[in-house]
Amino acid sequence: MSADLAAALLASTLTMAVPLLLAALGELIAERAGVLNIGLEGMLLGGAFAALTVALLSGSVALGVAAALAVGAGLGGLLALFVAHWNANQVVAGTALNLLAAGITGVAYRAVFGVTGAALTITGAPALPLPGLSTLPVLGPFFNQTLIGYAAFALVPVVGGWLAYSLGGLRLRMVGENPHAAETQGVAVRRVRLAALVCCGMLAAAGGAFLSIAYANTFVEGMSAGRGFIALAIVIVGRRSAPGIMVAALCFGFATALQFHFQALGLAVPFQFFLILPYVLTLLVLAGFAGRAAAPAALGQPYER
Amino acid sequence: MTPVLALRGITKRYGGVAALDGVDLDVRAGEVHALLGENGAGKSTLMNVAYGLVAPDAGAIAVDGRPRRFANALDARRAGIGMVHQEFALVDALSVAENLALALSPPGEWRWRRARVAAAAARLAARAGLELGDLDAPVGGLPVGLRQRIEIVKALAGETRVLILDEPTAVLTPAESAQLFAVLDRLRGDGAAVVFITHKLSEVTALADRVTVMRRGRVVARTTRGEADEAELARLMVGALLLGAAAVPAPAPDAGLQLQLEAVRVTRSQSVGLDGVSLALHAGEILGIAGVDGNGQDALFELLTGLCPPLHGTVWLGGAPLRHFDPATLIDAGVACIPPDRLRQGVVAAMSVRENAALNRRLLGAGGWRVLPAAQRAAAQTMVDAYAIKADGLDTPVRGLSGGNVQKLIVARALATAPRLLVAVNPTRGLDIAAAEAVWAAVGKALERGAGVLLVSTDLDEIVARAHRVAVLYRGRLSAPLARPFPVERLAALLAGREAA
Amino acid sequence: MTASPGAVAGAVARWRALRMPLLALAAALAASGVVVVLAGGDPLLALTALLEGAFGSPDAWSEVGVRASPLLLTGLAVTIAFRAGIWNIGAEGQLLVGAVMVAWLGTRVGAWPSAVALPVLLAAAAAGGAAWAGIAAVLRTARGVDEVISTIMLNFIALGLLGWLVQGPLMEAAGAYPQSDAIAATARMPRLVGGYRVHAGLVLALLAAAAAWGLLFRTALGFEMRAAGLNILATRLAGLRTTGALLRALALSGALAGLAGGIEVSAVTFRLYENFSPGYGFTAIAVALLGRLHPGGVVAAALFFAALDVGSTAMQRVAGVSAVLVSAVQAIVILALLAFEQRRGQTGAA
Repeated sequence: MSADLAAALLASTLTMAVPLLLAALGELIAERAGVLNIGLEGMLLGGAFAALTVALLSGSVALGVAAALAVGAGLGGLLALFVAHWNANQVVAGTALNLLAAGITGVAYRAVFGVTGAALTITGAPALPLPGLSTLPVLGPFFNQTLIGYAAFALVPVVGGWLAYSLGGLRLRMVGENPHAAETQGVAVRRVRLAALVCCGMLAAAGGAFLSIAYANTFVEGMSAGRGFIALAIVIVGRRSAPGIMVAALCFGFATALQFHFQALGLAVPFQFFLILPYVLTLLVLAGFAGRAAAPAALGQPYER
Repeated sequence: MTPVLALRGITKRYGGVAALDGVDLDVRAGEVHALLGENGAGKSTLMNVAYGLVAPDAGAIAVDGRPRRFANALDARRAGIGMVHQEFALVDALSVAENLALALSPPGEWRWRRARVAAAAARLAARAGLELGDLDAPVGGLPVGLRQRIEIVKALAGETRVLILDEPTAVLTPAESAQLFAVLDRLRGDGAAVVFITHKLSEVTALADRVTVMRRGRVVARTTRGEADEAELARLMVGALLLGAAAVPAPAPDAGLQLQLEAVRVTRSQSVGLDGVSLALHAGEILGIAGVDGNGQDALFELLTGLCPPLHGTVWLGGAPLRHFDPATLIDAGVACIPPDRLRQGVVAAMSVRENAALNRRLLGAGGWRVLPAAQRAAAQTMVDAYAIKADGLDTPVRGLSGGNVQKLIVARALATAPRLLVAVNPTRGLDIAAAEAVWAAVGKALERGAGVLLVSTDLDEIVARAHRVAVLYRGRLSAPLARPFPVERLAALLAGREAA
Repeated sequence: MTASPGAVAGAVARWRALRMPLLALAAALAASGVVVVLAGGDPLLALTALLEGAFGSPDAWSEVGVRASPLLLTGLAVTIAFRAGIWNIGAEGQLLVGAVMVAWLGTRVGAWPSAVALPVLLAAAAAGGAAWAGIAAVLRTARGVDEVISTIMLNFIALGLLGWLVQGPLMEAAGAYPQSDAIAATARMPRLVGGYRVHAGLVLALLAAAAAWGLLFRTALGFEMRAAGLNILATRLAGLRTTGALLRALALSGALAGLAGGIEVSAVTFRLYENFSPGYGFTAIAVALLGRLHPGGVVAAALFFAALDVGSTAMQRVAGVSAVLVSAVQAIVILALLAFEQRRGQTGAA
């Protein structure tokens, strides 16, 4: 494999990995607080749409990202209302969130842009190459990403560190493991879960923003394409640790990126194989890993006082 | 001298039952105060009131003479009261230091510093004279004694002046108990007030400066060190019992054995199992299994309902050895049960009365592969009528019924299978007198038909009133059964583990 | 046999049971109205266009029947799984596999009489769906993989497989479009009324609903499934079957979804191509929840969503409101149901 091909593969891998990484980091926070967020997909989609629309209408990519974060926070808050406040079933509520996002983004897209399904492109977020480093052979593309891309990787130690070393992170982890014990120590379980879901929504929406304004430079209905669910798997595969999630996201990103390079790699397989590769990989990895990764003890269980 | 903590006239009702009825309690600095009583006496409820977890219906709390009201545990902590519960509020997946971090970190910090927490923990541990070991070890794998010490340090954080412990030695080995007593002694010397809830007489006489004895929600006696010996305490605790006065029908002579256990061992990972238990239950007999909660009753229940097979030993049902342990086999063999947790084990709360009345392999299977609603309805109606179950029609979900009515339904269903062995765990818990009488009347009929009843209960009064023979379960070991008239002191001694089972 | 107060109580209970879905629908309608206004449309015009488009002509009723058939079958599939406590989000993938079976075998049964070909094809579709769902069941029982994620992954895998098949092995002989050959005439389900598209599959779906009801409420197996889905511990203690329940429920669920897919090919599309399903398997979740997981309710809910679907194209044409609004309506219905359930103090199944 030539150095150019390797660099191209890395570039694609990173592009595919960033939205997965962001969504997975968000889900990490939610799951450590004890909430299984099936609605990641809807948050990704909502973020993608908000970012593109606002960026197009305002001409500013930064505003687009801000809009995505706001939408993500809103969706997270909505989910928290149902699962943290009302103790609704987390699977059903998350599924409803996905349907809601799909429906509303579809309607809003056509309402705002008036065209059915045609691509409206923007110039998208610029890449910010780091001088010197970005010209390295093979590894160069890592230092030639958009701001969101850098932010995604920078967030890995931030989120990981916050979870492990801050009192807030400690409180969050207690809520996810043993909410009753947390309550006796004066931790407001519902509020912590609300905050966790809002963060999760913002991160997932940021991932979606990347999809629409840095990767595809447009919005297509359903463009999240199951990434939200792959992010769920990434959290499990990454053993619910920030660095583990980063590695897993890169692996899944690589698997997704293969669809663009398999011809160059000389793999004579129908291209749909590469389309389904990430999903098959998810299943295989879950089957191999699922039993061993320890989930937060109170994950998925509604908290009754 | 003003007591550090004073409770006056504390009353708390749950439903129609008074868990606490006008209770007064004084706790002084520099003393160890024992709160003694049987299961259900109200000791834990009283201390939960003192710790702000339960709001009393009436009564007042004063700390250092100043009246206080606690809306939650945090308020109580701020007033200087700490509590170590029977079920530790520890997070298994986190380390010792992380578990202590919230309690031991000064407010207003965003990150917790391990060094600070370690220093504070060391200070508190020194005050109490105990060791915490490796602060980075995950709490989940630690021995119980150490977990308790972590809880004690947590409870001592802040300016704690009253430390309450709820049945602290229930989960400790004798060696760990001794260590705990040394700690409490040290705290007493340091000027703290220690309240510990117990039902064990030996601890009271060894450690307590003053004793308050409770029974059925009331204070029945107060003594100081040296005033009462263990026998007297036992009498106070257990009260005047009906010794054989109840109309208990005598079992027929030469009645066959319905149940026999020989040297049965059951292990359970999280709690006490059965350690070589042997017993024999005759047809037409009620064998009472007395014991404080947590001494193996769950294991016995799971064994006899088929949820947990024995590691060693043999079980015979009606003379035939049991080879296969699962609920279906046992039910087919004629075992019926009244489970300890009625809502979680006895019924499907979301389903209707009619459907729950059929929630049993023998009753459901009567129709073959089909469900015949008319037949189910009739059967359910019979049960409702026979036991006066108050429900808004047969189609209301069971979760809308009161606890007592749910229990009546469970009993009705169990007896409708015409079992040869009835395993009843706390069958009349939460029932009023009339309902309890109805239950026992039905049990009486089953006895006449030749069934055997294993009555596993933490209510000693009930066992003494109803059982033909009583055996005591302590730490997974069963004493030899005692016959009527039941010796009160011996029973109390066996319950407290003073006598070897 | 039942005393009069009991009958009254029963009627009251039934009304109470209906009240929630009706309230949820009202909320969904109101919220959708708001969305329409925000999108710059006229909600009243949209609503009338919707109703006109769904019920305004025999052609419309026929179309409602056509859309209702797969919605009903997948709705039943989801109902059975959810009742057993199994979160089968994979009805769409199972539907696709069923469709593949019929498209594949349907070209080979030209020589057989319809009376033989159709049952064989439909059985194959059901078997395919059951097997696809079975993968998730095995993954869960053997490796502890959560069925929510595995069924969702299998949806995407089925989608990819479909794409590969219609561009490869199953591609039509002419090779012009990415679709399979048309199935033989004997493989096609008969129409119910001449001149209209509504087909016998609808009748099958209604029969399936009756069978599902019978299974859930008139058989011991159904009783055990429902009890296990609500409280597995108490069900075990009662000596009822709980092991194997997962496999049974998922297989049955997958079979119904597969049947839905097979019928779509056999009766409506006659060949396989990508995107022939507008997401029936996902709408099925809303259908099942709106129908309160009761086969009778599911029939009503399926008809409702079918009408919504059919009317939405008219709504788009006449009032300019995008048909995709329907997804949002589904979501709002589910959320409204969840909200009302919590207000009443109930907790949903599992």
